[in-house]
Amino acid sequence: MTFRTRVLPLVLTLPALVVVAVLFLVPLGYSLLSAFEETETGEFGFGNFAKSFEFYGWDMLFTVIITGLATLLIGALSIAIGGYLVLGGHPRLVAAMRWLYRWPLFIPFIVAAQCMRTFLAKNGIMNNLLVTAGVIEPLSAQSFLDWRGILFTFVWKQTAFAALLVSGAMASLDPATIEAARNLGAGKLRVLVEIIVPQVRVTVAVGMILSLVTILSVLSVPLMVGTGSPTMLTVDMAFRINSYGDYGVANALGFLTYLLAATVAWFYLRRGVSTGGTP
Amino acid sequence: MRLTRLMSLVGAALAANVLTAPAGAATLNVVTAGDQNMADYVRDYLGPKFQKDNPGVTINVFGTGPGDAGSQKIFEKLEAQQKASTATYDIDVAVVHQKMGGQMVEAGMLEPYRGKIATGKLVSRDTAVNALGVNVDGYVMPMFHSQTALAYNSDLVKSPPKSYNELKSWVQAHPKQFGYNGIKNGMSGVSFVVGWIYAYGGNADKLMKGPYDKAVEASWDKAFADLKEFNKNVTFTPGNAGTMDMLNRGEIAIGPVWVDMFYTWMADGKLPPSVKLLLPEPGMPGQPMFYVIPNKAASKDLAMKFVELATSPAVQAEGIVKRFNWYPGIDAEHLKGSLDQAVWNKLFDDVSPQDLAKKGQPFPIVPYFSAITEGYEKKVSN
Amino acid sequence: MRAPGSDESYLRIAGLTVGYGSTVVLRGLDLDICRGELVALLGASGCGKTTLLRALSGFIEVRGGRIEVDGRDITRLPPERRNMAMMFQSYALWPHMTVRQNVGYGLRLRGLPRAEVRERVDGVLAMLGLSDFAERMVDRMSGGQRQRVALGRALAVEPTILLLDEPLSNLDAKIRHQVRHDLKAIQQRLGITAVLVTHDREEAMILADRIVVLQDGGIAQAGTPEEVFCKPATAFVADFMGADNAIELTAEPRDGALVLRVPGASSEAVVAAVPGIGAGAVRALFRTQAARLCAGDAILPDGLVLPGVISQRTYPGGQFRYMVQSLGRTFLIDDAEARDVGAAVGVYLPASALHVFPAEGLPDDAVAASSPVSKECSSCASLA
Repeated sequence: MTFRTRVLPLVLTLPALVVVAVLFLVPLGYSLLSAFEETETGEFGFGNFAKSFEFYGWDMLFTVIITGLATLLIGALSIAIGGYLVLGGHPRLVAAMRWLYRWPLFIPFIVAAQCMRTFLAKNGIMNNLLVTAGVIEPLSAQSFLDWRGILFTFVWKQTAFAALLVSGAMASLDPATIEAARNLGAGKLRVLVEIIVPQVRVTVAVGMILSLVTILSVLSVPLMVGTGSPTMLTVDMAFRINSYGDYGVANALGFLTYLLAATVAWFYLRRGVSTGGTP
Repeated sequence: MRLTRLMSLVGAALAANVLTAPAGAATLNVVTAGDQNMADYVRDYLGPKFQKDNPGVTINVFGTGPGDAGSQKIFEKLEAQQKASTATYDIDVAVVHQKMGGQMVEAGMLEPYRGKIATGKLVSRDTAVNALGVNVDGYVMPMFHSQTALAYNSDLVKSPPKSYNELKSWVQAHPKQFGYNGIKNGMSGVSFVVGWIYAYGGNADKLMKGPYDKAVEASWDKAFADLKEFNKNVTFTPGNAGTMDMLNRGEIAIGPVWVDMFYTWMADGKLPPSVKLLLPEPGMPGQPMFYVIPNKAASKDLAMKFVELATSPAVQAEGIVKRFNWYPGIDAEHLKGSLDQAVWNKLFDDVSPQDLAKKGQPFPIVPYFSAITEGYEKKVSN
Repeated sequence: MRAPGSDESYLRIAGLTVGYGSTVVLRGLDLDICRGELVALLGASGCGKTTLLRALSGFIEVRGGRIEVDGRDITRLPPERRNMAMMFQSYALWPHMTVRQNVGYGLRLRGLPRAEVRERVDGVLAMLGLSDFAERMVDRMSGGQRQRVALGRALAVEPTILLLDEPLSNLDAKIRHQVRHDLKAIQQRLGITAVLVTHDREEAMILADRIVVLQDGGIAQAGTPEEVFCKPATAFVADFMGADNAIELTAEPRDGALVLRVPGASSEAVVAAVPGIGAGAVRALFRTQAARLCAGDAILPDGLVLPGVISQRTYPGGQFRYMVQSLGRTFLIDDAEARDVGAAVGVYLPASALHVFPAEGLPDDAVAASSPVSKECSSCASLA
């Protein structure tokens, strides 16, 4: 029995463990070590971090602001979409929305970024449409290929993902809890804010955190939609490696990105523990 | 970052598997850095041509991606095999950027083969000898020369600025009409910045030829400060292609571009004919791509034959100049016989060979090059 | 239409038609409910009773007809503006709120001052015996407690109409029997107008002032529990109210009454004339509780005696329960006297226990499986 209960499970999980160890833990450990190894001297220290802050301090701030803002917008939009699907409006519109909102899920970041380049440009499709529709004057058209474009692309792409999670969670609520609130006199917006969102807040948080981590790791969008300065840390990492072969600073930036993601995860877990429920 | 690293490791592992599979003598593994069109050039044009002369040879072609990143991958792959003391390397011919050519020579990875092939004598330009400060004489054959220049929309700009100085005042008068892509989104922007330092940093010759002296870097502060000021009236574009996109849509009127890319886009109708090229005073950098052969290449002789074909006047004329609008790697005079006048004229339409000779500069030696980009990051964009 | 409060209609449903897609669930339904009255909608599943409740609450769009409360047309109002409070089968309590927050939510929505909300919630909780649990999260409450919280939440807003959707079906049988009477007491004390949906006949009988039996989207019968129970208007209602044994008899009008006979037997029963029924075959339904056993050849006054044979005897407690084969059917009949299996007996059906309808095909099921309740309906004779 000991073999079956102790050894066998270990043997069965071994391939998975090895894959995780080799493909994830080893590169991670190597990356962490490299972050603390000074590129020039080969000694351990904080030189790479000092250089990271000196060179990319603004980019760090930029990255935090963009990811933070994008994450908040993604949260808000996914709640709005989920709420619309659950609380309904015109059945046709709901069906159209249900069909449409998932599209960005199937479009890779790099393709999305490429599309945004022609969509958001000064003389791009969006401005052309707005001019044709008479919303803006041709002269007041401006390019959105900067931080706004990055934000727009991230929100556009990642909202689909978060909305899929959130609307799924909303759909699995007991519909009677929604009806009970409306029955007592709550309008749709109040039902969304006071009844639905509190019940799916964990899923909303998961959607937002996963989006944040994804955004932190995407290179193509800031590279293709952004204009270089300030830019996001992924671009700086790629630049350190490609232009200088400097893995030290790149890994230091990676380490800082990791810290950022870990901080968010920590807040999330701590909240889960303090409310005593499942996080 | 660790993802990038991981992906390159996985990619290298995959490539290694595929490469080592057909281990027969008649296999040639060609790895190219650069955009997809580089790999396509070897696969679709050069490869079949070579196979016609050498029946039975299998040619495997791999592209490692654009920019220095692509060359970096090839270097790391060879470095790994070098460290592991492998008997033979699984790369026979590599196409790498100028900077990496020098780095590979210094690392002792390459075979000095230029003297052993017939076309070796057709190259006299300095860039085949000196790669950003490293003596690469004998180790490399230039595949082609690429050059950056300013593209401008002649409908919008009647009298284009002919120098960095004129550009400075033009930008002042036409804010946001000049656009470039910084230094992180592609080399055309880097080129523009290097040209700026050549123009205003002083000692341009020393930057190109060395030797390296850290003290020189301090003399760039004013140039960087001016560039920061200059940038305030500049539109930043998303990448090399981004600059051309914006030129095409009329969102900017002037911007630095790669000449070959410019002609290709022009030929595809992606740029209006009103967009023209000029090389500003005192000049802008360009660079060759090198054919190199690792000193432990498995099929060294075949590799040399391959490079010989690739650098023959006929191939240089037909493939490099006519098809891709690149400047030839071997000296242009050897091509005259193989190229009709119209094609020749087209290539040198806006930028004359004299201009090119005078204002087409090499990139600086590696330590200065890194110092310029780092200086930009630190003092201009930060 | 009888009602405890006033005779004036408070909730008026006129020509109500509701459907989903191509299915029409309610067809031109008319119903008036008086102030303070508790009406139970009773019917088999799919009869439209839940649909009617959801149409009243506004969760389903109405295709035709009107709903009025106190003379005001609310047919097209969204749910939140109807001032009705619904108690859901699943209770639908909000798990992220405490008991106090659940009960007080409707009051908060009405913009009442904090202190007043607190006071009124305290009052409701006290009435329901939940004062000690005010600050507890609802997902830590037992089923019975949750049921009371749900009721409290509905009552706290003092709704014009209370809608109860199977409010007791999630409770254990034991608790359910107690809660029925509690619920009735609270409703009567508050004098609140209420509509109850249930499929449980007994629950409807105990709670309701009036029972509305629904069949195929229409009203089969509406009346007091006694009326519906003792004078079912149709065979369907009789069957649904427990008179689920059907036999075929012959009828013969005599002196303004109707004489019923079992074909091939001598006994006869005289019942009041039924409109539309003359001489010939009729269908009679009865409850097994109303039947008694007697000697096989007995002739008893004012009732029918069906010849039968005992095929099984069980003792569920108090009385014996016999399975009797008679006229090709099987009846379960309780009787105090010990009899043997295989004995010939008579099944005595008093005239007052027979509900007579035109014969149009008898139900196929031969086994009368409804659980016998030992007490006979004493008021039936007088009503008949």
